[in-house]
Amino acid sequence: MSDVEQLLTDALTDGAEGAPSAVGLAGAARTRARTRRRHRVAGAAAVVALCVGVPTAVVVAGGSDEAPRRSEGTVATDPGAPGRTLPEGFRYESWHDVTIEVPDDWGYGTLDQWCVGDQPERPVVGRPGGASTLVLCTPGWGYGVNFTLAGDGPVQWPVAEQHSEAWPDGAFVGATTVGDVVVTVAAKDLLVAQGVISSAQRNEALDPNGCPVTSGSDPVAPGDSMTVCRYGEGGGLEQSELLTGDDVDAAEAALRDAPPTTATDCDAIPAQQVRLASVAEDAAIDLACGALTVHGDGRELTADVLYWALSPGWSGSVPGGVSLPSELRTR
Amino acid sequence: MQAAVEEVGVAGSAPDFDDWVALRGPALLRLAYTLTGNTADAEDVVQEALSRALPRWERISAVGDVNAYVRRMVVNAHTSWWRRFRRRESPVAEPRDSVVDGPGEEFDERRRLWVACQALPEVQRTAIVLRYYEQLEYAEIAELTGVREGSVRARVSRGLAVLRESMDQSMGDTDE
Repeated sequence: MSDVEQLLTDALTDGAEGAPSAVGLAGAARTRARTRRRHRVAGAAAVVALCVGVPTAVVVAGGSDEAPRRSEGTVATDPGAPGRTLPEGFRYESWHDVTIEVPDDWGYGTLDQWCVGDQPERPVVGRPGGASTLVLCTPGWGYGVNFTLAGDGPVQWPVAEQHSEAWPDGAFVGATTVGDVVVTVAAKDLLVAQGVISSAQRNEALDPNGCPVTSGSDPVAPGDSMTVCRYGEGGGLEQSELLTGDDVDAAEAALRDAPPTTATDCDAIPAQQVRLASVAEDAAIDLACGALTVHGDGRELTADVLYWALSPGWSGSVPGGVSLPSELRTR
Repeated sequence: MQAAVEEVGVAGSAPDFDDWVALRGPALLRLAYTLTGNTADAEDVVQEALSRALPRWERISAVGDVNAYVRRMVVNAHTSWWRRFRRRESPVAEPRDSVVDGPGEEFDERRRLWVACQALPEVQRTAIVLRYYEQLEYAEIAELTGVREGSVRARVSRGLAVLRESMDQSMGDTDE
């Protein structure tokens, strides 16, 4: 070590003595962790109150619908509690600033393409811009839930049984408008349809999975999970999800294993971004550029990273030279 | 400086969060302070890292080296903090806390180096701090920061060059 290097070590060691005291550090970290959790679930009380106000949406009932039911035991029963409990067997689905709860076995797709594929009866979550074919299905719409922009003004359809060429015969169909987003649901079961409609909530800043409603802010990964946020060309949130357990470890490993690369200048407009955030990792992907940064440093966008970044139901393309995974996640 | 705090968090152990923070907290704050040059920001960075570690403490404490893992979190929290700061604030340098006082010409040299180090670009300063304060090998810094070892060496080299130049200028000013 040269004299300058030794002097630098001494300077940094001396300077470090000006560090603040560690007294109360653990307590402060605990407080911050609690505050973050409260922030993440902000707005939950209003949603819980909404569920309580629509008893049919939360009461277990008999029926033959294959979708899981909301049970009193899994919905937060104390409206004053600071947390929102996702009913067992359900998951959050977001589009722009609106989040709904849907049965976990619902797939992804396009409601008017329900007759294409090998599971025509399976309800799907549909978003604008999804892959489509020229096939005209009859009836025109299948089971599931659809997000659209309220271009012609707000829509409020009370859930009702339908017998027409537009919907599966006997489907319970309803719609609601939250902000600028219309949520339309068609389910085999009245209570499932009502439950999905009643769960629609508007998010001020973050959705329940920790994704900002528009790109440009940092995701907040709850606990030991990884938040995946996908944004569309206009910067609005297209889809969010939470990875948990071994999936977090695998996704973090994929990010760590992505080879470093020199940053490439790419100002593709419009941008299509994906953010992945966990306790240990913070990554941003620009799908239009095929670019990945991890903690701000350029990395190669690998198929392994894309496997975790491309949320189920994604359709689109990536630039030449970027390898897509051999298969996309289905859930 | 690391030896005194390596007795907890070794492979196979599962240290209690409070006990671990009590022992390792001061070292984390010193690291954060050398990275940020500011007591409030150092506290912010370390609290942020620990608050994110807390919900998954059992899993973290099961990994091979808790100290390295949390140190990585502190560096990452600093990087994230720096990115937020850059987006939020003007590029004018923030006034930084001064080092503790001490007498003598050698002390003045060290203080000038500290100030010059704090003025380095963030990626160079991080590499310099990890190399010359944490005494990490280049490969360890590369692993911790997720960049190539060659890039780490380049960052350290460029940072050192700037610091040497700064020292030379200071000496010249003194001579005049």
